Amino acid sequence: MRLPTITRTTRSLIAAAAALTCIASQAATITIVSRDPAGTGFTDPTPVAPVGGNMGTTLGQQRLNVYRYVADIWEANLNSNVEIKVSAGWEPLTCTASSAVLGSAGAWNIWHDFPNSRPGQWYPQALANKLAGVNLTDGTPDDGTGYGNFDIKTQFNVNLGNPDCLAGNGFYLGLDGNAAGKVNFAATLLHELGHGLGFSVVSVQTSTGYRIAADGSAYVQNGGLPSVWEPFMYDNTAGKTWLNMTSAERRVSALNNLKLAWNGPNAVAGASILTGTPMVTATSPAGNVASLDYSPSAFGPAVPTSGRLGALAVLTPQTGETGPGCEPFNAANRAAVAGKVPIISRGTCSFAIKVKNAQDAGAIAVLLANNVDGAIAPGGADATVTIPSVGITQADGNRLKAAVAAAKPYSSRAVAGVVTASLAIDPLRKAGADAAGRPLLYTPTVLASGSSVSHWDITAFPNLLMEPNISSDLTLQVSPPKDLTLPLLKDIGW
Amino acid sequence: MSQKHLSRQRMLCAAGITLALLGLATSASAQEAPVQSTDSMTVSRDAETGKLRAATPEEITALKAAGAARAMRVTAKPTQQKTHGASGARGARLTDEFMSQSVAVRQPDGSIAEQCFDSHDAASNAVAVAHVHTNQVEK
Repeated sequence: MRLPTITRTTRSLIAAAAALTCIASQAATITIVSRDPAGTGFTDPTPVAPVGGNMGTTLGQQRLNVYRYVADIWEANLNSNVEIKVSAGWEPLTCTASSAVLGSAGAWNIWHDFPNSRPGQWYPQALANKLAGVNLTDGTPDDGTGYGNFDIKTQFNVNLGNPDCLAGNGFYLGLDGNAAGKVNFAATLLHELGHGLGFSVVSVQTSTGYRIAADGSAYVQNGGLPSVWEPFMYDNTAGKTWLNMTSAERRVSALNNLKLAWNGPNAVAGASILTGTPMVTATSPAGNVASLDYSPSAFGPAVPTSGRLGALAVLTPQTGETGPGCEPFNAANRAAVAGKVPIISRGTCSFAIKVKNAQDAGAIAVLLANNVDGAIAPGGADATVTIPSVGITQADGNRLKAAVAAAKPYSSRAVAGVVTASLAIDPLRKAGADAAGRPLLYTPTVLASGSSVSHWDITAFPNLLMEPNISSDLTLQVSPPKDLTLPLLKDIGW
Repeated sequence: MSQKHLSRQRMLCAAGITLALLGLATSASAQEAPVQSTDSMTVSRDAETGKLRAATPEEITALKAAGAARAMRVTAKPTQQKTHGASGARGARLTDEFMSQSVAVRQPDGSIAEQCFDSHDAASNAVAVAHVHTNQVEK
């Protein structure tokens, strides 16, 4: 934890020196201002034990400690001469016993055509203030809320973990990432504040492609001003950025899966941290087998990134089976998979059951093929599974099964020909980048799933802070070699 | 594809049809985002037969939630327009509707999946149907 008094004194001295010598900028200062009534939220007096480096002894203090810790991370990475003000509250947000709104955040004010801005583009206020060198809301009356002129507004769910609000899975307030089934509040807050600071195409309505009008009154189909993001949002299909698109084109681009890339130089350079794409390669005596992508299962041992996986095998449907691989293997299938890698189709029972049955029959790994279009990452849990497994598409599964059938006639003496699978990394295809190495924005084919282009694509690896899904392996770092958040913010002017 | 995905696909299909029946396709001449009507005759395309049929109560409920979210999203507006006197910069104060919002959903294996949405309404809908996007499936 930082020492606020000392740090602020130091900052004041630096600020004075900067003012005297006309130095352009200093480390950012982020001020958290609570909206909570006394005795609630940040001042909740409920006693708690220190956890994961958070030494607070009341619930309220621990909440505040996480806010301060996360704000410190952003302060250490951003420069601005203008204080960044964050309004924060703990409120009862939408819940059920099995799902909940965790919280939200965003820029509370946006600006265009201020000093040092690119003309005619909307900026989030914290960045606008930094570039202008002044607080642009100075002189604007508050709206009675007390935070009307703040840069960022945040709120998080005060009831999380209660019986009717994601029961038992409250916020983890430690700072070490060991959330152990709870919701990692530090990572979630770091992500949400990232949106508020500028990781968001905030002034474009992605469901329509409309922009906010220059007078700030509403979304409009034509004539609105672009977001500061738009010059960097390059659609590989359209061959142009959002800046040069119509509303209709932007709406289509927001659904152009794996085709919308960020072309800002900082993020593109940073994208070198993304790993190559993991793939399954296969060799067959019957001819070439195209390489295919895979997603490792959530259970079982870690899947090696390279090396021989084994000879592929195909199951024969068993009498009375409920689904492929769902029952203990019969003698024929045990003989087919022993020491090999069966390709088992998805369906009926869990992936963990299929893999366990294969393991019990002597298989050394499993390829789990989808039974509908699309990629799958096999989920589930079974601590007794000791062989690796990966998910592949239905089409790839069919292709491998066909390759196994085609290989059988090829043999040396009495042994049927086999297809041998291996794991490898395609260094030419970065996980989460386009063919030119530009990091991809999240553009799911169905926007109704909710997330927007204001995130990195979920195919990025290593996992990134600003993907729509908060991953358990995040490190609370915002720059390379761990993350690409800061490079994107630098591209827009931070 | 999981049953969740299939039912979601049906809902989305039905949503598209309903919206088309409502004549909600944006007019080429419209300058400001339209407000959604509340009157509707709801039909759904059966995922197995491919034919239109009356929507089930479950589909109607889901559609209303999705429709409400859509209506609120298209009507989101800044609350105040601002001018910075010294520089002449123009600004706008936003609303909660513009906020990014994180949702958590307990998965069948007990784990928690998080997803950040671009608006309150999309997130609320995700909570209502207890579904966040992930290609990780149990079976």
